[in-house]
Amino acid sequence: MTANVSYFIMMAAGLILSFSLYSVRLRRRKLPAGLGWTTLFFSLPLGYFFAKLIFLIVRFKATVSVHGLAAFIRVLPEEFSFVGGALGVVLAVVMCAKLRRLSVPQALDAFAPAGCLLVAFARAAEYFLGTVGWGDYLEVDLLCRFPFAVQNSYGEWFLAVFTFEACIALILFVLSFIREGSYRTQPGLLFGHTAYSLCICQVIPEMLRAVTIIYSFVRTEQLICALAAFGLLWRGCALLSRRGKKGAYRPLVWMLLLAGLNIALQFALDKPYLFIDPLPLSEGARAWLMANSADVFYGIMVADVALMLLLAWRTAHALAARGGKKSRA
Amino acid sequence: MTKRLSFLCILASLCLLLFSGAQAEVVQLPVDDSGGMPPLAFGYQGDLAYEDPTIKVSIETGREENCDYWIADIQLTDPAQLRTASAGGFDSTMAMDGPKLARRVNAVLAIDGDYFCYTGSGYILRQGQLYLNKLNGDRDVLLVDELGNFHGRHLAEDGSITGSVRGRKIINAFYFGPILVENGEVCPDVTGQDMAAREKRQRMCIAQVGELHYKAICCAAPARGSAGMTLQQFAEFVARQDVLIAYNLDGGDSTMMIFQNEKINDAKNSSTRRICDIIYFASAWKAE
Repeated sequence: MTANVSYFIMMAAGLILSFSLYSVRLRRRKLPAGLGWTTLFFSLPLGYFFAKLIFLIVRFKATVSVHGLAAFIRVLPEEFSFVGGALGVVLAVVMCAKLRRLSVPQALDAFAPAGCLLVAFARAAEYFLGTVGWGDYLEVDLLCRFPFAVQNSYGEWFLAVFTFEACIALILFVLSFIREGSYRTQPGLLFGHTAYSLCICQVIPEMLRAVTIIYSFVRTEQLICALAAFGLLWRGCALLSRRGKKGAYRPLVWMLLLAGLNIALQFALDKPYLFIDPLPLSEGARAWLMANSADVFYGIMVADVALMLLLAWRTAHALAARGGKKSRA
Repeated sequence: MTKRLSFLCILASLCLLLFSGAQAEVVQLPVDDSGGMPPLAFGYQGDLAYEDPTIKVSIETGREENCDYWIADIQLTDPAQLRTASAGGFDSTMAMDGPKLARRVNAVLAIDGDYFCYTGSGYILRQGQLYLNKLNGDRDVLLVDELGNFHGRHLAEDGSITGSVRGRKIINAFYFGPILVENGEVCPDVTGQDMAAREKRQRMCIAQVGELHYKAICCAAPARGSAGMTLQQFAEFVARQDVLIAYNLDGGDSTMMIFQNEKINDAKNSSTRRICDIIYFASAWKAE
């Protein structure tokens, strides 16, 4: 069995399982279960379309200008945007709910855990896509084994970034069930918070990937995720503001600051001397920091991402509480 | 007695010759993605030189115009020892640490390539296989033929390169540029293709000195006590190294000269940017 056949089998399993879960959850919310399968039908072309579209826009010069419109039907693993695919699936959920004149936030909430499950399957399936989900070359013996790492034909081990991304999606899958009860007062909140968390958790794995869609040194998938997360938080803050919460937009300001720190850290990882040289440090401390700059900067980045997640958690809980007050009123 | 001693000496020498013949041999490296022969541990002469019967590398460092530089002089016995390698294939955008890539292919000396996966256009021909032929006349191209000779093509237009040059098959081609030196003289238009030409930067080039004789030359970044070089300064500096033709490669923090699987240029900079490809010089001496 070739790797690509294995990939498609795994993706088919992921789609069937996640859309089955979506259908069950729709039924529990007293929405038509058939909507799940209609959504699956539309999410396939939409997922493909947006995954290709984003890739082709970013890498236009290397794709469309070389292969013309045929670039749209080239099925090469590296020539798709994961975020674009996810966007297509979410659009299918929205579109199908709208077509059936059903509540879009309710449909999205029903889809949140199913979406995480689908992401987990899609990430895990990257195992079959060659170097697509690979990260840095590994030399730590303890990590040089599957599922932490994958080996190439030269016997070299590379970090299996897809494993970590699949694990993150599974954790968010579990969290979405845990959060569901407390978020019931605010339709759309479960999806918003889950999507935000998925996007923010994408920041570090995207840094680790050896194959990523780059436009002029910018990791495009990471940028789209950051913008989507910003948009979701903005919407949350706007809802809070509408409900009279003072300083409702404060998390947004914090997020901008944290995003700025993240950008600075990305520059620092590329050119550590620019950031370390001006620091008032002793020679020994400077040398240590230069030698361990990647570990230090990645450590700060993890804290930065954790704070961004905390921002959304606080905003979501404030919204859930206010939503509750409103519904009781 | 003397005759017997002489006979024994000759016999011992013959045995030694036969024995050493069985121990090592020159192999013909194939033009493909495979690496070279592992360098011999005793081939290293100090920290900056290596020699075996098929390759001789010596590296010189110094300072010019307030900027540190590194010059590697390489002499080969076969053109197939000048090779290229990529992190994940020349049709992939995968990037990885240059020294790890050099180790994979047993490079005696390696330098960063032209970051082929970034541009999306150009003429990507590596180890005899063509991956992309999409030229638009905006950059110079360097062609390396089957004899290991360099040929520059100024602002190569689409369709102007056919896979051979002067009847010789092209084995590797690079798309970064510009050509810095031609016929031993600095090219008149080195600043015309941008490449941050007027900024003082870290720079890298590959040059041919003679038949199977090359130089890889790089200068330091404008940091840690060095000033960096403009493209014009770099071209003039390279021309003074008695090269016939020299071609500018990816610079900035991608600038990498790798020897004994370590980045030797700008060693105080702990950061190693991941790169897509390397140009390397391999040994063809197979030790048992």
